[in-house]
Amino acid sequence: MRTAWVLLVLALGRAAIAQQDDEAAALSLADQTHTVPTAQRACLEYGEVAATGTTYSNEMAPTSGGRASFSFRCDVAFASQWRAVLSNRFDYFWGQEMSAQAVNTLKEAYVSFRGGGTQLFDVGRINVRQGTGFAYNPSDYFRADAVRAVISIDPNTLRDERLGTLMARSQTLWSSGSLTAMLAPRVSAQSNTSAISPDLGATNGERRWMVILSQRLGGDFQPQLSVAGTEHQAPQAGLNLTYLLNQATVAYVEWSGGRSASNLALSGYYGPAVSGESVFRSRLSTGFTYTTPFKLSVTLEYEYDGAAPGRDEWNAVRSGPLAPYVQYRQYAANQGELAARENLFGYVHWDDVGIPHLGLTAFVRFDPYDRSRVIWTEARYHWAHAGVAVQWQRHSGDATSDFAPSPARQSWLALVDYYF
Amino acid sequence: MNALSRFALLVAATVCVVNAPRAPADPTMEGTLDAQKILAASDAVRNPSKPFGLSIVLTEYRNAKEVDSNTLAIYSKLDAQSGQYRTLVSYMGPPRDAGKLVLQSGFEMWFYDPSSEASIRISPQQRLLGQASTGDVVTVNFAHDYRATSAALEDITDGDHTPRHCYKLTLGAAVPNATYHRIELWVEQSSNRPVKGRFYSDSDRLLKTAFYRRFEPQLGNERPMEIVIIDGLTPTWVTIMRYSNYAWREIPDSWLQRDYLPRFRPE
Repeated sequence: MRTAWVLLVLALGRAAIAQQDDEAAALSLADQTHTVPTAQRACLEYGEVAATGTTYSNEMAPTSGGRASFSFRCDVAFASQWRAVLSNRFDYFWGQEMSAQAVNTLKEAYVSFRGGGTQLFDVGRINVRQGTGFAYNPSDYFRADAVRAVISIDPNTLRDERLGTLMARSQTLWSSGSLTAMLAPRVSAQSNTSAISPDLGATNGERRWMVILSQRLGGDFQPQLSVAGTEHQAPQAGLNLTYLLNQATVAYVEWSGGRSASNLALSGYYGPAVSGESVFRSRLSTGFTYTTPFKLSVTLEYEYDGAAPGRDEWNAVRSGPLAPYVQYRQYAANQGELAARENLFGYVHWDDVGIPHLGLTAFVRFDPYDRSRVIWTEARYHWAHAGVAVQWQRHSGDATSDFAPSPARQSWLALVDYYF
Repeated sequence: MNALSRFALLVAATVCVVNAPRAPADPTMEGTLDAQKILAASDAVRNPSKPFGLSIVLTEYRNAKEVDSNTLAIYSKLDAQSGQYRTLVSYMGPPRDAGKLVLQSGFEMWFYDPSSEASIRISPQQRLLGQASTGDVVTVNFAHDYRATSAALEDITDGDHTPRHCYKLTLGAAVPNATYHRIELWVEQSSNRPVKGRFYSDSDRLLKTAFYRRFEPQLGNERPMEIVIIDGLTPTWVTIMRYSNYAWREIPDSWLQRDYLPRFRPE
């Protein structure tokens, strides 16, 4: 018994000494640390080079290719109340069985005026990003036709690398909310696919407007309401809500609703008869993100598009003629709409996996009607300026299913990036 | 002398060896001093009462090797209604993160990335800065989030290797969203300077130890210009937060909300 007490005391003493040693070592490290704060930069530049490979479900031989990209974003205050923002991305693609192709994406180019700190006006091409949803954003009304070069199916990348819309925007802020109004003119009905075109036809093919009201109603409850319309479509209402369930979990709801024709009808689908009349239709994206103490975040999302075909109609479209099916799929992808009425989405991101700066990301999208799915994974490591990543994706399902409509079944990508 | 008495003596002897010099706790202090007032006075040393800004260089070490460095610009304002600070954190570097923002306002935390123009709500558990939690970076009034239950006198060596006569405060979480379950905070008796803190999880595990050091006159008070944070589980993981560029700032309430994040430009 006495021996046990002595051992316990010695252990306590050793632990206390070790703690003092650790503290002394940390303070000594701090004594030797020299730091210089990084100055603010008006412009940030980024470059990326990637190699890709794809295998197919049919008799096609595997293909390979590559991409080189350069982007920059400048945010410059040029007078006391004025600032200008210019953001651009340039991609150059090459590969087997294809001619090399360049695509320039003028993401943003606008000037902004601040009157008195709470009144702001902007004119130019602006990327207005709405919605709390992760992979499907029904209230993100300016998303249609905005992606010029698809460089990844990762929802984060699709959101980042897209065209803004030419518009005038006014925003009034007060201590508990804001009111924003936007008006986008019709410039051209035709999209321009030439390499360096600003492609205003893609984003300003018709006149559009949007009003967003955000007001804190108590505590951390601050819903965001929106109304948006076009010259050809009835106004659509939007609602975005977030709620902190506990220290580790954020829940979100994104809803949009209004009178509209079905996506099939809007796509010009000419297959077997479909229900396309203009009725009130809802769209929804809801889920939650849970984060563990060791930097692993998990997001689960349910997505519903009331304008997309339901189970029976989707099966009819899939088994119908191919050309209208392809036309519909192209339309839904360009508009950022679901192909079928319901999808499930799961996303996992883990930072500092074993070593600092190593991140793992994976997501799966699943169609419960045809049971098709796509899985995407990425391992990424970065230093202060440079980074490397390996991505892999796999599509599973029938040839006309939601997530495996092309013969491409599996692909990988390796990239090196650099922040200047 | 029975076994229990012998054990008490042994423990006392061991503690004296590893922690000397240490003044005996003065039992008359407990209950007579208002621990909460000491805590509030200590908060006033760390946090200016008017809206202010500063820069933080956050350097992270593992096994004495630097693994990360971030520069942040901080804008803080006391919310008179809640009694807690609202803070906007702007990433200045490295280039990969430049322009990103974190807003903490009460229960709300938002992360903004200029590349997508998107504001995403995040939970307090989401760490965006290596081993440092957002609660380490943003301005926090401990007296609002925690209740000090005792104040005993104790002599310790501070982060600048100088002996200090301190109150040792024991703090318990007083609000549901407090970052830590329990804190031990050493506050210098004569100046109310925070000297050292130990921060504990819900399961009472030591999460981190912090030393407040390099005090300099800033914005009307002697304030710590550096915090050294030692990981509780792996003490060779060390984060050094070095402060500079303290300045009074005009920060309208309307800036401290999600809708302003795309508009924000560091001054």
